[in-house]
Amino acid sequence: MAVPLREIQQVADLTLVPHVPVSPWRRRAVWAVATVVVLALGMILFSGGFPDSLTVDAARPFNAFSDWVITHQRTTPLFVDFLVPLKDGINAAVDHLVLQLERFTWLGVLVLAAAIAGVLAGWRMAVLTAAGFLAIGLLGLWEDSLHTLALVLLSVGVALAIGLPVGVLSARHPRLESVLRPVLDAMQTVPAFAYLVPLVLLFSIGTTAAMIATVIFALPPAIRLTSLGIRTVPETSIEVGEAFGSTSWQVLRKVQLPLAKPSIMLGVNQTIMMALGIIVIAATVGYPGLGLSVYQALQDLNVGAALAAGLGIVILAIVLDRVTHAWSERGRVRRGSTAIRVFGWSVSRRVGLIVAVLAVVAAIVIGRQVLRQQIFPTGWTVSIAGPVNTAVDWITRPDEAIGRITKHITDLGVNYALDPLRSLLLGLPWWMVCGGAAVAAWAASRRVGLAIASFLLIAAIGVFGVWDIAMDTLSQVIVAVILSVAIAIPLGIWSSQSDRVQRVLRPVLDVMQTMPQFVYLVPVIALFAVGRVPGVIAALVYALPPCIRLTDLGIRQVPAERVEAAVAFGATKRQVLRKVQLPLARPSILLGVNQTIMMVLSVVIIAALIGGGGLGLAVIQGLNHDPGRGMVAGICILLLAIVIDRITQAVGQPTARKAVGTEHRIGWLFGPSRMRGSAVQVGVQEIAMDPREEEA
Amino acid sequence: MSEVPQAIVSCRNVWKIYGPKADRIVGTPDADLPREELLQKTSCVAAVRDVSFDVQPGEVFVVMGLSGSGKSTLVRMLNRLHDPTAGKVLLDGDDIMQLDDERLREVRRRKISMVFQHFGLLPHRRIVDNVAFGLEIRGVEKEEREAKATDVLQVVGLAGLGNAYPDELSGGMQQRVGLARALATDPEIMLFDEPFSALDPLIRRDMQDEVIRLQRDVQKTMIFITHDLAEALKLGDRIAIMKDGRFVQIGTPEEVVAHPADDYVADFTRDVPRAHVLTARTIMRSTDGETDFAGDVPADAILQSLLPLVVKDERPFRVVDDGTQVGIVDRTAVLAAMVEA
Amino acid sequence: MTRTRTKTSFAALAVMTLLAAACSNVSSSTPPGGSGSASVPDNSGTTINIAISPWQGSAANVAIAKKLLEDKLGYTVKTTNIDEYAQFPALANGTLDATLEVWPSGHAKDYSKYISSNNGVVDGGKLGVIGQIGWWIPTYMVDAHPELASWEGLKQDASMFQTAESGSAGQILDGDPSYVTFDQAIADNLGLNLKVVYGGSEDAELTALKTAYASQSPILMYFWTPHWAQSKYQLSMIKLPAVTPACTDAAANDPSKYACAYPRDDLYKAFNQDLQTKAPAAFAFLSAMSYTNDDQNGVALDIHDGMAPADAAQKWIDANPTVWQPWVDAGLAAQPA
Repeated sequence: MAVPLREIQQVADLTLVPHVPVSPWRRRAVWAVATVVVLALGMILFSGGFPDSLTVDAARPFNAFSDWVITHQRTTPLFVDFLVPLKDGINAAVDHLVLQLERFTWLGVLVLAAAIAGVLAGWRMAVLTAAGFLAIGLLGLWEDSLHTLALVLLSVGVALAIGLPVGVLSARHPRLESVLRPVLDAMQTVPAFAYLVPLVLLFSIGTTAAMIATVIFALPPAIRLTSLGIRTVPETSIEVGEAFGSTSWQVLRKVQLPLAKPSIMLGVNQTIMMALGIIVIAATVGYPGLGLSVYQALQDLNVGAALAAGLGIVILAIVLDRVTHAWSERGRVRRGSTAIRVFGWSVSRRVGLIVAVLAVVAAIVIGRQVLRQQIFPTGWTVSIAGPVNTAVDWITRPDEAIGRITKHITDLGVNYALDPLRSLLLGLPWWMVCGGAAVAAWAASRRVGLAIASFLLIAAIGVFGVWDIAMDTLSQVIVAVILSVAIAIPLGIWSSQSDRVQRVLRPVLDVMQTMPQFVYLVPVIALFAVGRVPGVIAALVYALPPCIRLTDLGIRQVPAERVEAAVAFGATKRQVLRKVQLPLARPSILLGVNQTIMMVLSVVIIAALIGGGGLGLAVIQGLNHDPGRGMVAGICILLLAIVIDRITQAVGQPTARKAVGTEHRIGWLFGPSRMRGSAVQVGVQEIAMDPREEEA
Repeated sequence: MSEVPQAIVSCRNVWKIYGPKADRIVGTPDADLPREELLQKTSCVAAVRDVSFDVQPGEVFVVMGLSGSGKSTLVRMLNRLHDPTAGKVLLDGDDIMQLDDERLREVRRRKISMVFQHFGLLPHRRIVDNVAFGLEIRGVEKEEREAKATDVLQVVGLAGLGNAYPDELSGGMQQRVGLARALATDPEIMLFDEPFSALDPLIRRDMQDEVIRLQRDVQKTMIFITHDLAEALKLGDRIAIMKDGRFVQIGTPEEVVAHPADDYVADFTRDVPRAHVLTARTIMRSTDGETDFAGDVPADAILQSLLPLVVKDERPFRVVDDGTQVGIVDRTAVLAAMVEA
Repeated sequence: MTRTRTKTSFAALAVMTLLAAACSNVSSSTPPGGSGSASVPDNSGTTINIAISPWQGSAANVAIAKKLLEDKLGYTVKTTNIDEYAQFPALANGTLDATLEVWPSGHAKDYSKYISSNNGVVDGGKLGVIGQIGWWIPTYMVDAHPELASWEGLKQDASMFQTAESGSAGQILDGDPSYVTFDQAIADNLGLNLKVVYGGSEDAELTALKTAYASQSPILMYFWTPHWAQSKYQLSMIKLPAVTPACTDAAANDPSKYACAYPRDDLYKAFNQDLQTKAPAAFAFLSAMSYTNDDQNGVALDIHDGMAPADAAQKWIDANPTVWQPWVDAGLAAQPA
């Protein structure tokens, strides 16, 4: 897939059309003053918050539902004849898979994984895979990893079995697409904690519930990227199919699917990353594995053990990511070639395959007959828990100077950012806050529909009775986003100017996104004390990577001729950056900002676990006592997310009349690695997609 | 144009308008508004306006116009990749708007094929699979279609490249593949949508010669879209000049060059090397009672070939067609035709 | 063609692998079975699934029960690590057979929904371990400020507990927000200048405790015993007004009226209602199971210090036969012939 430079230019050209009046600063100043006056009037003249009289008890239906399940689950056919057998079947299948893997012995599994990687993606990937599995074994995570891997593979399989057909359908039926969009948003934004209770009520605890929770979270990229891939197949290619008399099925199979393959493969890749991303949640519904180890280790404040388990997740993520990426790349580079190159020798594919099969068989036989070790031998493992815990203790040791500094930062954040913002949002009358959203929506999109929808969705949060905590969450989100963007864009620029910086940053970003947050949050709490500030830091760490990557990528994708043109006119490096690269990278950077916001919202729940409060806290509170309220709070996170997402996307779009139903929330979790390249590419392509009819 | 009954492709008052409620515009005075005004008033864009023409079997019919003139839309209505907003498209006298999906597919599979501007090769398929695409769609067995594709590749001069992939070929070779693909289904009608516009001039000339050769060998009906007048003159039995969705002139290359219908066409044809296009027939006049002739020239002799004759001899020449005299040309007529702009 | 080849590759890979696995059927582990005394009944066909809640006390209970059920009554025992919120639904539909440590104060609603209303869960009797929730401070604080032994001391001055999050008030740190707490009500009703700040999770609360303890700085928190942290850190509970019927009645309908200490928690067990028919001996054994806080704390601390649960349980079993023998006897008595 060639980089759609032309599209990017077009977008950039469109966005760059200067609509600058005589003095932009003066106009901005006027607007700023007006805003302050309006806000002040709002605070003074009206009482803040949302009136109780307008709220409804939205939790009741959920709670009524759970009560019904509790009293009927032992008799109703839905449970007795359907859900319970279904659950038991899935549980048995996974148990069997894990058992089978264990019977292969550790050596057999290691070589099998390497062989699959080798056949799919080349010998380099085989080596990487073997190294990854070996590392997992050495870290003492073998058994946990098998469980995790089994769940991830099963969930990804199910997600793809659903996601690919639905993605194809939604590409062909724009109406379905527009119905699906908020559903997919919900699947990714509503924290799993909000629906764990109904999930457990319906499917009980264990593998099935874990799988469903995983599928819910991992499905959206499969659907989105399949649909996107199909929709971005060039019109000509489809015309070719039609002109030769293809049925629509033939067009799909022979033209659209093959051409959409890179995007679909990216979807597969993202689906895997997402599945690994919520593996800790699987532990909360009773599925063993790496997630549970993280969870249990933290219960004992054993950061070292938690970090080891987290590393296991990171290793699995990196192996799966690199292998699927290489697989999709290879399909395009080496197609048709019957030879593969190993260490510089050309080997026919058939020989390579036979070697792979023999290696696997030999490994299993050796594992069973010679080594007789199903599980990675404990004598070989290296525990990193001790040294890590020592290091953590040293970092968080009582130290006057550090304590003063961190306390100062905390006080600063709370007193000068979080508290004033929250007071402002709570001090304004509700309709002013909703109106603010509507004005922002209109300013960004010039679409009345979006403005009205924004108003209503924000108002709905009040109607659901969680206005105050939602404003608390919103204030934290705003602070976290501003900080993220302020850090990420300069870092992204720096990274774009230096390959070395990029190389150093990449693995760091990988780890930031796949390491379960809690592992590194324990030291953060120790340093900054429980509260909203560590919550904001958690959001920062998670939200930085996509914005850094998209900024970097956007700048690097600026066509060389444009830079040359600027240099030819004698521009300094700084001028090139300011006047050429940054403006042209704008769509990509805006996409990064949008992603940042969505990421911050998606860790609201994590922030709540370390003292952030707000909607996330309500969700967790609901878990034991009022699942309905938890669900409502979860939905309100979704409402906030949708409004903010649509507004920021509208800002990113070049003209107001563009693309009503399009979609560029790709790569929610820009998991580790290079796939970000194509992710953004499709993202940018999306933005650039013109509703052009044809040459007319 | 007079109605010719055996036309293989006919368009009757075909319109294509994009935009809201496009179908309500045809037949109202709005339809005649200039493009800008129409867009202002109705948010609609008229791509093709009231186009009618007939193409005879075996004829090469070229539609020439600048980009945005609606010619690509027009050609896509001939195989119904786009549906006309109004008017009729007849293939062998049958209205293709009346075909159901099944029969439309049959037409596309057997009767009419298309060569695309940017080649439209499928990058994930080998060359031979690209060429066999139409046959594969039709359900031809793998062996048979690959054999056929290999043959056709030979015809277009790409023998032995069947296992390559499109991006391993140069642009000219890629379009030969596109040509082979369109030939492979053995259609009666071939549509060419600006097939050579993306090629270098030299390669373009090769490809044009290739088309001429093919036309000579296989006798297909060809409808050829181009924005290049030289190409149109070179290939076309007849040429339609299109502007803002309308045909402003239909005629043979000579007619168009010699008698432009309006300033627009004249503007186009100004730089045409007239000596290569105009024939004796175009510039001849009837006898003024002269009897002293320098000799005979065939009616389809181009001016270039007359020049040396008239330079040597001041007397007029007889223009002969099928052995009979149809008119005369002399030095004055030839020189006048060549300098006229 | 390429694709076909890849497909074939996988088929071949799969077949060979399975063959290899099947051919060499050697070292798969076999259950120990029959290693104990002759009086152990063979219940190995019956699997008892017991929930482990996410704290060491629960792990200790389950480790002991598992060991004894397997070694003395011959059952196969499976354990599931699962959060409290999911235990009652799973007990009700039989995914879980038993949970051994339920804190009544946190599960009043579940008790009425599942146990009192006969929705699939039965009360399995008391565990013997007594839980106590309260306001706790490190003992070094009581040493430095003896008045903090009781809530009146807090009333004089709570400013030492002030943080950024609590503003001008003192901070009382709560943990997992899904626990039922009355802390803000207690503080308000007793006229204490305290503000509840949710740590959001037990981990966060423990981290805060660890940090404060290391620097001997002030911390006031909602906490409870038994908990492994009680053995690791010296903590003292602040004396709050005694629990009276008047106090609990006042709060029955309006939690914001609560103004006394937390009642003590008699931890209990809960079983799936079919356990008795499915595994009568296990039911009888688990019903009889009961021991003290000290018993549990000993095992829990061993587990916390890195001992494998099974080993920690064995250590306790070896040392305390008089405690567990009656449970086993009850189980054997219920064992069908």
